[in-house]
Amino acid sequence: MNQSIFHLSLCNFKARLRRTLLNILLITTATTGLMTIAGFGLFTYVSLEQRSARETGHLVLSNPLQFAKPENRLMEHGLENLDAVKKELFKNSDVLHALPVINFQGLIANDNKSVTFLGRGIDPKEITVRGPFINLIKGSSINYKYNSQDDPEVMLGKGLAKNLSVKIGDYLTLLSNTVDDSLNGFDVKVVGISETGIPEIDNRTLFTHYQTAQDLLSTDKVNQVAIYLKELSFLQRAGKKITSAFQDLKVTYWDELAVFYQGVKNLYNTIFYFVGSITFVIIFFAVFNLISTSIWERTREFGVLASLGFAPKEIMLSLLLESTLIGLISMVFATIIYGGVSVALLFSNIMMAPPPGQTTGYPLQVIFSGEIILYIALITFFIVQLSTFLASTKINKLSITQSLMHL
Amino acid sequence: MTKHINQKNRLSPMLSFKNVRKTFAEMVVLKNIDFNLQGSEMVGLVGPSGSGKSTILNIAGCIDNVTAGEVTFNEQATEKMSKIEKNNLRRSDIGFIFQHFQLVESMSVRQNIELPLRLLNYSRKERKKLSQEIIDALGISAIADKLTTQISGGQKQRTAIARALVKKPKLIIADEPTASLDKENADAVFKLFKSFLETMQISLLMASHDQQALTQMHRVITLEKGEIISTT
Repeated sequence: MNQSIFHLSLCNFKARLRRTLLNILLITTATTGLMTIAGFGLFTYVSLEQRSARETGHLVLSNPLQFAKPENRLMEHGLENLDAVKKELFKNSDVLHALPVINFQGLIANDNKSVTFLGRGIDPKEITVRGPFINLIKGSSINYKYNSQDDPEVMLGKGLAKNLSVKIGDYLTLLSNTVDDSLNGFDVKVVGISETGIPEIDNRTLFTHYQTAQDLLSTDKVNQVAIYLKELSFLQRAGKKITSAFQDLKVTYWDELAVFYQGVKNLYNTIFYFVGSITFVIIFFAVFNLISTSIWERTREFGVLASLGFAPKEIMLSLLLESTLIGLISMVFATIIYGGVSVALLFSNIMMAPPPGQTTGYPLQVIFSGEIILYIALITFFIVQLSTFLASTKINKLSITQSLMHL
Repeated sequence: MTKHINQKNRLSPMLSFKNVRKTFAEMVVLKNIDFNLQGSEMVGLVGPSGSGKSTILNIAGCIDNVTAGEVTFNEQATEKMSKIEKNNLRRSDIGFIFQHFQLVESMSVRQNIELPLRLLNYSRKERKKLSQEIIDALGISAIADKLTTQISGGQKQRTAIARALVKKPKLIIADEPTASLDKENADAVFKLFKSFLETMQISLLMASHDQQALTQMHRVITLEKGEIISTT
């Protein structure tokens, strides 16, 4: 490459500082905007994914008929030998938790009224595992250690607690059918009130220790074992191993059960692609307009350069080098600002409005991702270079005399 | 004033226009243009506005094409040259001095002067030496590191002359080189310019209304309505 081309680019970059800074400002703003939108989109997807996966477990181990066929009798398709199953599961080093679940229903009553509930007998570790996706708003979680001599404990959904007008420490009566189809009842102590943010769930759900549920239903089975992995990214590897280890049982991946997740994801995909496409077009035209203008106003200079012996492709190369420099500086600034926004939001605790069908919002966060930086930088870089290429092609179509006469 | 031209150079013209015709759309700008320019010769073009002076300069400098006829530079028909060959010819053998200076605003005076040398891939050391020589000779060393937007019209013209001369081209094409200067400045600049041309044996094709400058040309071609009406 002729040394004059790089020199020319550098001179223009420095001498037209105001124009250069304006270009950098616009490209930085556009790139930061795209990175932030993408970071927010990624946060939304990851949150949604985590919420769904933590609700069901990354993998669910069950009787093959559990999700395939309705039960004629309670716990007919339940899972036996829980301890042996857990022991086998923990042979897999990817498994972090194996938490039994019993789903049951019945009536819950105080002195004044009784209402139906949807019960979930859990290992109390599940509350910890679900983390921010289940909010303990009053009291405490169910005791980790089950003791049949102690009062059975329950944690009520916010709506259910409100409906029964209970407070922490109150006693309620839990009534449910047993596996033998007789009626069983326990007095249970309210230890906590929780909120998932989904009113339909919060109005009906109660959590209790799975062994309390087993006692109530007179069974030693569980419906399923929710398997939580050390990393969600181990899903496929762990899924295959567990499937081959439990050939008589069924291993279900979390996303097969997450109907809500799939629906919301599809909706968000449409929204993000639509908004992303519009943003891309706006940014393309803004950058193209700015770059075209800044190149077009130098038409006479290009005529002078051509008269000195610069070939059109050398002039174009010089412009592309200049825009490369502007693009690279903008990318660095955009990445720094994107990182700053990401960190600032992490500490700002700004809440988003609740999504449809929910009562609680979620924190506004932007994930700082190398992949986002790479892809957005490439897209913006492409827009900048394409704009420069198109504008300089237009200029190169002029004759030298036309360029020299350009005002 | 000397009007002696090297006899050896007279034998083969450096630049030759043979029956050149140029039209823009329906309008005839040049017709039947015939003249030669020898090595080291200085030829002036004179005529009213629109007589075709600038068009002849553009064609001679390979930045415009003829509609008919032939132009040769060192016996090579410029119309048959590729764009790259024309670029290379302008790069090495032709220097331009424009009426409105046409300096690159983003560069300093020195960088403007060094630009043709950069294009010819001179080393940094050679560039510095050659540009400093011409800067000193034209008396612009005090402004050498200023941007061209920060200097006066006279200084700009000296810079433009220095840029055209620094690569020691075979031909300099000048379009009203002193038109933007006051008379005193114009005379001084042209005198200096001419002495360089003579020393370096560079040919000059110049369009001008400056009578003082035209009297110092070896020949003056008078144009009217796109035709040569006299050569003196």
